[in-house]
Amino acid sequence: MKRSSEDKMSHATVWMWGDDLEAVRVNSEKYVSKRWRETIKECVIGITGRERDEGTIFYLTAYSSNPEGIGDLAERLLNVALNLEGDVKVDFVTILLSDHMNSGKELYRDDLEHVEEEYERNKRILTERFSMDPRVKTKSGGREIIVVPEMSLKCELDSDYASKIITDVVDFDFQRVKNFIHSLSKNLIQEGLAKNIVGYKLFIDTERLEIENISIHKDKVYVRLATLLS
Amino acid sequence: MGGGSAIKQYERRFGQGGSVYEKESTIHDERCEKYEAKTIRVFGEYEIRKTEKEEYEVLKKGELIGKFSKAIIEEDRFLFPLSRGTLLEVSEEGRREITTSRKAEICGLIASDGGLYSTREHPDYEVHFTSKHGELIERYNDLFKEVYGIEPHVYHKRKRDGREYFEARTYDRGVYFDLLDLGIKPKAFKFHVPFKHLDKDGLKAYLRGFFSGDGNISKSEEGFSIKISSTCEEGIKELWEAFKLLGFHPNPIRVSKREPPLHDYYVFSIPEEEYVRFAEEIGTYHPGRAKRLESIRLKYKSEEEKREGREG
Repeated sequence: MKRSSEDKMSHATVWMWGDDLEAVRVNSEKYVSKRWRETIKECVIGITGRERDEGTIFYLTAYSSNPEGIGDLAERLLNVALNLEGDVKVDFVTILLSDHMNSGKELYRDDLEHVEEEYERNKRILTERFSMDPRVKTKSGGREIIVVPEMSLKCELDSDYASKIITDVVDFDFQRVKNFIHSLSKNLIQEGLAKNIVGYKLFIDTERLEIENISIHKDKVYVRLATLLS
Repeated sequence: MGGGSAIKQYERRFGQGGSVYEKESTIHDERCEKYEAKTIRVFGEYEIRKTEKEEYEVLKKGELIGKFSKAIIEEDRFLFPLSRGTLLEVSEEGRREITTSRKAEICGLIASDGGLYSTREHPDYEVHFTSKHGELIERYNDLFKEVYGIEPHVYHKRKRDGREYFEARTYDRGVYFDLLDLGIKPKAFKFHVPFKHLDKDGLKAYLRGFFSGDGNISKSEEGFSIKISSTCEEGIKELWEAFKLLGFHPNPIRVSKREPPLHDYYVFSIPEEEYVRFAEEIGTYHPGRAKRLESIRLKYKSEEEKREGREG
């Protein structure tokens, strides 16, 4: 198994950037046939990647209880990710074998209207909080303050091919996040990997967000907020 | 890098390195002809001498450690070209082997979008770099040819939707170990900035290589944003540190934490005030980013000039 690594949590990276595309199927099948035990309830395939023209981070997760189809599923998911528009880099395809049904916990059932309301609500909370920050006050000089929080939008998709597929997009730009998750979901459905979108959930960690950058552009002060590495 | 004494290493590499040493400045060359060597610079315990034959000798505590036909003389250091894009730097800080800017850029490109691969079972000694941009592959190959005298083979691949990407690969044992010894990619998941082997120009070239791969310039309502990203926490911290060493003030590193089988992502950005400096000192060979960077440079430069004009 070329470039496959494993750790105690029973997960292995079966493909990484620079590997031959065919390796993902071969390595996934080898790993599953070697590691699947009776106690295993579910296999989770995780794809970590980024669109580098705009810097949008994305994750794809598929859950399956059928050990036979893992290689094919991993290969098709990787193809969907690599064929997205823009300069896409997929860093890793990783497989986790679990004694639990993890997919049951992944429920994202809001509609887009609710997501948009949530976004506005969070922005209001954050604007209130960060307008008082001395660093913002110093720079603002009476200008309008726009908070730009980093967010993650998750989307749950129904699938005949897997138990469930989750897409997860991370960026500062709400419109870009929505567009990107729409392309991902559309491609998954077009490729026959997913049937339909079940719903969405927006994550903005208002408690943990900190100031990453403050900039002034066209008489507005933009305060970029993110979870910083401690 | 490698075993044995420094003099043995230089001898192996270049067929150079002194084998004869006398304390006085009169030395014998291979044909036993007497010639004079004149001390031209002393850095602590290191002495640099120039012979009548226009060769340079480096001595440590009086012991000859190397003999070179060429030297790059700078105010605070002497540089002697070694093989494979390496220079011997002698300065007040002592001596060290540093990479040329070209080799440093190769290291940055490999750290972002390439890798080193060889195992006992598959001793391929593979060094590869992947990109969808022909221009970047061309740049990588040009650098590679200059540093190693080898032209990597380019594999032209096509994705299912017909879009193309390229892989430049070599399978050379010497090249593989040369790069592995620098510690740039100790594992497929990890990379390190080879600080010990980089001077300021090398550091800039390394960052240019890395940014050409894993950088990005996005545009939104708030303007442009220049970012560097990675899944390797240690690596991104070192990149951040590298910018600090060069006098930049990168924004703090942000993180997107995920549980396995997904991986964390780490990103930091360059503050707006340093865009012009970034464009002029770091830059990129990535075609799309180079174009954006140039328009940013022009925009901010003219704003700077206007501001200076008003203040002046």
